[in-house]
Amino acid sequence: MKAIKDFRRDTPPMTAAAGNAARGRLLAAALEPERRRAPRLGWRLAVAAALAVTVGTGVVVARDQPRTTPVASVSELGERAARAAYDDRGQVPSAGQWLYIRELQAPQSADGGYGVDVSRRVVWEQWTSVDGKQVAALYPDGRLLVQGNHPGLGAADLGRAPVTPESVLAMIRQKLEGMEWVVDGPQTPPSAEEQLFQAVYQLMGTQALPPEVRAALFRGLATIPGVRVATEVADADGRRGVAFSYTGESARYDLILDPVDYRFLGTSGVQTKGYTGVADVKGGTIAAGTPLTLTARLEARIVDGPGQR
Amino acid sequence: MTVETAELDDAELIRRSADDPEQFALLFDRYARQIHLYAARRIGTQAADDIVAETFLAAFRRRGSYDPSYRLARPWLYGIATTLVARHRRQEERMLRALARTGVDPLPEPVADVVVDRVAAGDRERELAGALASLSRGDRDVLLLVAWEELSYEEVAQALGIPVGTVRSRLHRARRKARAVLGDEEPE
Repeated sequence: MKAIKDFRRDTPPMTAAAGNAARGRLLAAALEPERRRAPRLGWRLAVAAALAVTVGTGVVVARDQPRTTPVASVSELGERAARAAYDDRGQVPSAGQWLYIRELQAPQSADGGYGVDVSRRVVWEQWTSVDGKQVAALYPDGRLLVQGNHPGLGAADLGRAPVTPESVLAMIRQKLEGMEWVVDGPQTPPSAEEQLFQAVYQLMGTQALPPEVRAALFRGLATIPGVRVATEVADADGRRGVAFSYTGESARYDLILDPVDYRFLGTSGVQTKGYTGVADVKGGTIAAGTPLTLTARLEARIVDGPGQR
Repeated sequence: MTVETAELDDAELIRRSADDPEQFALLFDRYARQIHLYAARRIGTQAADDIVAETFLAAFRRRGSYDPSYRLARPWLYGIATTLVARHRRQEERMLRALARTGVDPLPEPVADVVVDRVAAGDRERELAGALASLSRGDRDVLLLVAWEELSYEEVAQALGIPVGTVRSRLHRARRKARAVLGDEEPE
């Protein structure tokens, strides 16, 4: 170890100038929110109020006409989230790279039960290739497991010009058409809208996508029939956000965004319809209200390969 | 104020910084120099200047999720810095290989220090540089955090977010490779 300890031992210390500059940046960041707090809070309340009003309208309309979406509210969210996507100064992914994601999750229910155990949390790490084709995770023994990814679309596919809400949704629909859905026992396969929502939900939650694609997906989400706004939805970390919400044949899924800057916070899903006689579930029963997923993104970063952090 | 806070442990400082963000600067005063030296030894002083600034900015933004049961924030900060160093992995390995090949360390130095004589590295140092370059990033992170920064196994585990068993196995592997080039004269 001594040779290693001595290696580059004469490296010069931090200069006073560098130290002052770094400390200055920290202090600037520490003081910034104090100055901004009032207007930001005001904006947040305004957004919440706008959503509350339009959600109210949407619910009334929806009751009379079940197929009508609360367009005003969800398009408002789509538009705001889309605009915020352009402000995202995240790293720009390039071909061959991967998105490393660390998230907090409610783990699978113990003893083979259906759904997740929302009283517990685990940290989950995964890597998704920027081309959207592969997803990787670690085995408990540290080996890396690489699998194919759903829906198999990446930044390059979805970013093909012109990028519009219609173009990205059409591309996803086309991809979904070629897939076969296996459902167990009495459950019904998801509708085309539900499949589309789930695919967008998965893309937004797991892929590194350029701002214009994210914006198009947000605007596109708002156009999928049945997609609503939900407010005050908590993620696995207890952060409350505004969500794109879709209730399908048997479950409801929420894509939770920060209510101020609309960055992705996490996901939440709950079974809305009970089933009995399901073959591969212990006891054969799925109860309505069973939590299906609860996550919170803690960190996401572009890396050069799966397994890197 | 400084007199009063000088006695506080890091976890308490971080807790207080929730309401009084400027308190976080005391953490900078405690650890910035050592974080800088660590980063500079790996990828040069210029990159280290940025890494120190970014480490403390990132730590400040994440302070809400800091686990206060860890009274010392040092491993946490080294973890963030190590993640940032990782972005320069290719440059780090390129410079180590160049040192191994030529005996001259290309680690960029501040302009003011160019007068410092650059004694050509000895054979052992060159071989060690080659060995360090050949380690996987994870193994090198563990080795350098233990050898240079004297973090305990538990602290390395905390810093890198990996189990202590993984720290041990990575360190074992890294030392074995280093010993292979340095000979067996040091049994740890």
